[in-house]
Amino acid sequence: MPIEVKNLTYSYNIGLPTETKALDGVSFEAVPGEIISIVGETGSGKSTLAQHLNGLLFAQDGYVRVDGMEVLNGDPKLAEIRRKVGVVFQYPEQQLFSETVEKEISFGPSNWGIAGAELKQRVLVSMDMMGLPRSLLERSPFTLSGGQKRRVAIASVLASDPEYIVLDEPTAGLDRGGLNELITILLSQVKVGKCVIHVTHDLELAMAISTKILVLHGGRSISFGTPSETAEYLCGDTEAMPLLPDVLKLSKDLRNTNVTDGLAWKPRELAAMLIGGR
Amino acid sequence: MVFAKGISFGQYIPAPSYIHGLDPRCKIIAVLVSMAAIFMTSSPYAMCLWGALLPAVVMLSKIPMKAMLRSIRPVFILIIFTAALHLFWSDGVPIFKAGPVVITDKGCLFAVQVSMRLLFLILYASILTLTTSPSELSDGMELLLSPLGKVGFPVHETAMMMTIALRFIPTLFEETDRIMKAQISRGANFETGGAVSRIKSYIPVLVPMLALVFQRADTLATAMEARCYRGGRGRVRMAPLRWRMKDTLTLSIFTLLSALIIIIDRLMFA
Repeated sequence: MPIEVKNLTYSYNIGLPTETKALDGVSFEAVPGEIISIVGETGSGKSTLAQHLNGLLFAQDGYVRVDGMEVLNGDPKLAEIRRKVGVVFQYPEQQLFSETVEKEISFGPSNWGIAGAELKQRVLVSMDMMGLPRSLLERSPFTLSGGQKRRVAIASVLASDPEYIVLDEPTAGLDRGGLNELITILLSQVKVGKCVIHVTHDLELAMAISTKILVLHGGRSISFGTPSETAEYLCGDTEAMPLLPDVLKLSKDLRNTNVTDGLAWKPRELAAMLIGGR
Repeated sequence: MVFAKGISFGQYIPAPSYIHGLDPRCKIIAVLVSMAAIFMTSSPYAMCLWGALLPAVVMLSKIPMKAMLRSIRPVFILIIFTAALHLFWSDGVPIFKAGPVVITDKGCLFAVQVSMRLLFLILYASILTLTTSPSELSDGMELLLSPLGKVGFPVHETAMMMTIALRFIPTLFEETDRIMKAQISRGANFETGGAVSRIKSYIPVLVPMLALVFQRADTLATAMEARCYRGGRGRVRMAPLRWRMKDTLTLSIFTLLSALIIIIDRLMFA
């Protein structure tokens, strides 16, 4: 069963001079086993959309359904929806509060009623998943390095074993190594049948790892499709120009001048096209 | 999610209005006058007059009534609580009796008076914060308090602390909102349970917020020092405040109206 978003519309500060339409008729679908990237510039509505997926915000028009259950304010099914959809916010290390890493990671699952040996098991599994050594179990999360803090924060969401994992710009402030590790973890989650929804402004990264990409611009969805469909669409859309990765821009120019006949967004693919063309 | 939503007290809303264009000193003095006058009046007639004056001021400020009413939300419980105290614990002629609960005529009158006073105090004060940017507000405060500088009072530093505090109110609400959302996503529940469990449920919000506030204060202090901030000494303003005729006129009219309400109150109550 998927997450279905249909004609989702949301405005902040309704009725005030500062009223802003953050989402305007956005639609997409995410099914288990997929990695969906939501891409857009700052202020395009990515984070607002992510917060609708587990009922932190509620649709003012249109709807969001998780496994057939509509996300509605005050609905008794809201807790079940939140359990199914885990959200990792930007700079998740800022949410840490417990005395030990173990208590921090167990916060989520214990809120969902998991206790005893299963809880312990979940803490250990999610620590392993995030590459955290078990010697850190009794350490205060506040004494860890920045990278370790972030891993603990993500592990605390994974420990609840959500079916859908929404990550709001999880790579902000990470170095190349940290980024690659996080991507490996995300891909491993997809392999075990989870759905990962990844919010980012980095179209290059999105094209490299995603099954499908939703591109937002000014609160509207301007394309939703596979990386190749997205590349094809965006190359014909002037609004999306600032988002285009350099390799794709170059590839587009080469195709327009008949040097190549396809589009590539990875340097290696573009090089192969050029060599093949010669 | 619920905590930070809809709190507008202290949040500036820009608009091209007559009140926005007034000198902040004029608005600060007018609010002080209104506060003193509201405390000096107690009759229902005076409260009606304060209520009648408010829409006119709101219209001149171009602030939507919705935003004004939002500013009452955080103190609504305080108003209800104070009104209830006066309603059930006042002397007078009983008009309603049910077991130990006795409501007297004076109790009803006091409850209405006190809740109306609090309501108008908040609404008139929020016009100041809704129409004056934090920097204007602190400039105004600094100039009004400047005579105290002669006796060694740190006027500039106090005003700067106020500016920073006001500037960070919306930021801290946003941060709190974000942390609350993150904890709700991990199954935290802030809305159900008894008083003790509700207070305990806020620990996962308060601890990260405290850490964040100290971190922010440290970063801000470093950034200010890096830009050579060393208090008010030798500091000049980019846009100095100018007191104009319309400020004198507005303040005079408002003070006269307040005096008129006090006189009517005294005459009616006498």
